[in-house]
Formats: sequence, structure tokens, C-alpha cells
Amino acid sequence: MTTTQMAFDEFRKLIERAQEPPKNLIANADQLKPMNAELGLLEWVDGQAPFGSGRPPATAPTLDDKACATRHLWAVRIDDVVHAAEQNEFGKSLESRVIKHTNLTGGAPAFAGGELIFVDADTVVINGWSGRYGPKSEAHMRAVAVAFAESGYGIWSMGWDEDAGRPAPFLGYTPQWVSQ
Amino acid sequence: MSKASKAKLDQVFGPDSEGDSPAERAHSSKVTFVRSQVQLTLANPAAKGRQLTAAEALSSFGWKPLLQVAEEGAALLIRNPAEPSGTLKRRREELGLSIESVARALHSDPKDVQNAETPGTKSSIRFLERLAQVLALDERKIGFVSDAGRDSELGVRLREMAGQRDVTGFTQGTVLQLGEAAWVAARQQLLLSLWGKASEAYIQLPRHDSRYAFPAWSIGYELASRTRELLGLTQSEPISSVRRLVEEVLALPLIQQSMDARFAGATIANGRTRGIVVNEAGANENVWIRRMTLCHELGHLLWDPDEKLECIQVDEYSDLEQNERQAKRDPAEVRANAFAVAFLAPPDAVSEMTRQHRNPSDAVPSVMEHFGISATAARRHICNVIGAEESTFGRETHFAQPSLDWLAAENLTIDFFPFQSTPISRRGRFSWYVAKLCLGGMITEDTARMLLVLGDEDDLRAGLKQIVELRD
Repeated sequence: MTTTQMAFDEFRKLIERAQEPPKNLIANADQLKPMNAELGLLEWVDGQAPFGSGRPPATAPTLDDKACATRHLWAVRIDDVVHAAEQNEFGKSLESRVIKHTNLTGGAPAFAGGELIFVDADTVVINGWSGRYGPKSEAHMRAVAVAFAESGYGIWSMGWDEDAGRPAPFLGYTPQWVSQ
Repeated sequence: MSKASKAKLDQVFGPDSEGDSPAERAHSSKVTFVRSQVQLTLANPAAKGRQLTAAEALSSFGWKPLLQVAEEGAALLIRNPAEPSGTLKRRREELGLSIESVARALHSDPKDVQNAETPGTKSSIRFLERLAQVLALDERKIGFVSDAGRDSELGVRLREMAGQRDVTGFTQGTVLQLGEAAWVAARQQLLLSLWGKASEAYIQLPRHDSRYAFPAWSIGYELASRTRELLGLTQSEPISSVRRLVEEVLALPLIQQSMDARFAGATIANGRTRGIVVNEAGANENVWIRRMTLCHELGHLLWDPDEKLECIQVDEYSDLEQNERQAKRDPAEVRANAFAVAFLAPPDAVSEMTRQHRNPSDAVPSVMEHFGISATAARRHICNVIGAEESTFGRETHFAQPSLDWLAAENLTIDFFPFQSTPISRRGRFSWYVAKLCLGGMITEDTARMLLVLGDEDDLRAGLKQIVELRD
């Protein structure tokens, strides 16, 4: 069993049930077209930075429009974790011109979804900004961030937006380093 | 805004809403939104941010973010990662205010203000709104629009006035009080537009008049006469309530403040909105003096062009007591003084009233009681109108005080206001708009509580009904 599998199985156990994407957020049939590796779908694989190893970076990454343009969407599916660049060739062929989280799942239930930006090969900023599969509480947001960290990456999390009652987006707040 | 399809309108505002445009749909929509520092989403039990009706959300952010909420579950309100901290810091410095004085005004910790001015730091939207209001910014737009409706000219003028040593008593506290008044004036106009009205004024306001040539008092008299004509008043009838005329007939923001006792009032322009500030302290406690203060400010507001008003004109009682016939004074003040007295007590009518007395000084009590002006103003006005020396009038000191009728007509309903925590600056017509809009479902109870500075313990709906009854 990989580190990624172990980390996210723990997360799935906490969530208990995968969530269906709300029907009212499916604007067109294209949004349910499933992606595969040929269309740019990537599997989340073990990283090289064991959770809790090393010191946290001195400064948080600054996220601006340029950084956000490189973002990927991620989803914790029933058996694996996947991600894909939001703006890719497949997305351009869709009615919405970009991929949606349901393209990662084909519209099937998932345990969580959000966005991520690679700072470097071992460091990632994540959020839970997904109308379809976004974490439903601060505890779930924290748990999924920990799962990403446990899979072998240095993780910055945008955390929870208490005023909105949902995960925080990339812009506006400074991300927090996920530690044990 | 491009024409939205019925399907999209249904998606955003719910199929039960009515109309063909986002504005029409929003007014009948039951959908409620919530905003934080950075995003807008549908109201949900976990959210602690500002709850907004569809009409409020549409008027604050426009159609696109609302559509995005319907399609994606949330919309990003921040476009620049340096917001809203950049706007808040820039504005505080522009006003010449310290972090500590702003924190004191908000009854909060200076660290909270500092955090709000630090990019990337999470603050509660409720605190950011309060901070924006104190700085005379549009709190609805904070973070969404850089500068959030900031009138930089007003900010600079307030800072300059606080920095001038010759304006005694004009402190950082005065800047904050006038900033709050400027916010109330602008926000009142926004509430009106949420109602779908550009103005409630019974008449169209006149174009400003840039004539200040000597003798400025005679131009003031002429403008007073023209104002009476515009309002459909004869050149002899008394004005029973200046308050009602300003707030209801002319639909101008009238804001009461408790300022240093040397200040009588101010005329303030925040963006395109002009309003009158009247000090509740000092000589204005006498209703006849308050009427004169209001009319003096009305003279500035209606007739002074922007370049003369320079965003704000603060008047001391000592300015208002000056004889408008004295030449060595600022012509704008001479004109406003003359306007005020001639508007309240038209010269021809005063002259006629005086002729009915053998001794002109005997006319003073009649002029006071008939036109509702103070003894000092009445005596001087009679002298000016008939061309007599004021020194020949003697010093009668036992004149009548304003009757209960005068007090009732000019009362700003502050004595009977149902909410103790609401600042006096927000107890005027502003509170009536809040009450009407909230009871009509146009703004949320959450917004009404924020605008009237209420806690959860206040019985909101009962109080709002009382405000409407007091003023209808």
C-alpha cells in the first residue's frame, strides 16, 4: 500500500460517505464527461517529503493571478486521488471552456475536492474550493490537508473561511503551513 | 449587463421570483447570500459573515458574481491580493488618523486594525465593515473594489482641517465624527437606490450659484427668495419645520452629531452626495438657533459650487452669529448667513411686521415667535431690513423661549428612538430607510442590525415598526 493510499484512506474513514455533486451545479452534459490520462488526468502519487520532516519555510508563497493560472483541480475519489490542470486542451473543447471537478469523477461521488498549485516538486498549496465536492467543515478541511501532507509533500493550506462557512479560495488570505 | 436568460434568472434568484431582469428578480427573490472578506456564497448555517438579500447582493456586486454563485457554489470577491488591506491603510493615512484613534472609535484592539491593514490576514467581515464605515468608505464594496467608494478629496480636506492650528477643537475625533457623517450621507443615498428611487425630493434641486460678489448678503437674500419659490412657499409664510423640509421635502441627508460645543454644523460632500451635519451640543439645543444652523448649512448645500464647498464646510457658532452685512468676512459665509435669515424670515415680511409697531424694537418678540428665530437673529434682521442701528434697540433679555410646538416640529425623534445603541448620527431619516427596507424584505435583518449598530438582544422588528410609525 502506498503512502498516498494510507493517508487518504484515513481521511475517507473520517468522512464516512462520499458526496454526490449537487445536480443544480451541473450546468451542461460536458461537465460530466470523465477525463482519463490521455485527456490530462493525473494520479496523485507519493511525494519525497515525509510529513513533519524538515523545518517549515520562513515565508508563505504569494499567490496572485499568475500563480492561480497554473492551478489544478483535485478530487479524492473512492479508490484514488486525482488532479488535472484546470486549463488544458480537453477543457478548451468543453462548453464551459475549462474542466470542472465532475470531469475528474465523471459525476460520481467523491470524498472531497478542491484546487492546488505546485510551488515546486515537493511543495503544494491546496484549498477546498469546489462547489461540487468541497469539504463541509473546518475539521474536514484540516483532515484533507493533513492527508496531502502525509502523502509526502510540504503543504500550505488556505484553510477554512468561517464567515462564508466554506473553504477559503487562493486569493486574499495567506496560506498556513500544515504541520503535525 | 447582458440580457440574462430565464433559465439563468431562475437559477440565480429561484423560480418563484418574478420579472425579466436581474433587478426585478432580485426584488422578489427569497434567495439569501453571505459574504466574507474574500468570497460570496449562499447563506448557510455554518457561515458567520454578512447575510445579504438578493437585492443587496446584486446592487453591491452586480450580476456576474451572483451567477457564479449559482453555477459554482461561490464567487471570489477579491481581485487584488493586496485588498482590502491596501484601501483601509491608505484611507486611514489620508485622513491623518492613528491606528489607536481608529481602534478607540471602534472599541477594539489596535491589533485588529493592524491585522486588517496587513495583506493576507483574515479579518471578520463584520469588523472590516465597521472599519470601512469609520473611514467613510462604502463597506459593501470593501475588498471587491479598490478604494471602496473613497472620496480622496474629502479625506485630504479633513486631514488638512485637523492639521490647521487656527481651527481650534478640530481633532482626530472630529475627523472621525465627520467621517461617520459622510458615510451616513452616502449610505442613505445607497439605501434609496436599493429602493429603486434616484431621489425622494419633491422638487428638483437647483443648479449651484457661483456669485459671491459684494454685497454677498444681497445674493443670499435673492437665493433665499428663489428657494422659497422652488418649494412653493410664499414670501411671507413661516417655515413650520426646517427638519421636515430638509429631510422629507428636499430628501437631503440630515445627520445629527455630538461634537465640540464650538461647532454649529457642517455641510459635507461624499462623492456626489451632499448632506448636512448639525451639532446637538452647544447653542443648537435652542430649537430656534438650530433652525438657523440648518438653514445656513442648507444655503451652502443648495447653492455653493463644488470648488467653493471643497467637500466640507464646518461652521462655528461664532460664524453664524456674525452680521451678514459686515463686509470683512468670507463672502460664502456672508451669503449663507443672509440666506438663512432671509429664508426663515423673508425681509419684506419682517419689514411689514415691524411697521405695525411704533417702536421697531417692539417687533422683536413677534418676529421671533412668528418665524421661529432667536432674539439675537430677530433684532439684527429687523435692523438690517429697516436700516436701523442695532445699538438703538437696547438689550432686552427676557424674550420668550420656543414653544412646545416649535420643539415638536423640529424634533429629530431622537428622544423616542427605540434602540439605545444606535449612534445619534444614524437616528434620522437614515433609520427610517433602514426600517422600511428591512420590513419590506429588501435588506436582511443582519444588515439592518449592522446599519443601526444593534446587538442580537434587541427586538429588531418591533423597534423598526416603531421607527416607521414615528416618522410616517
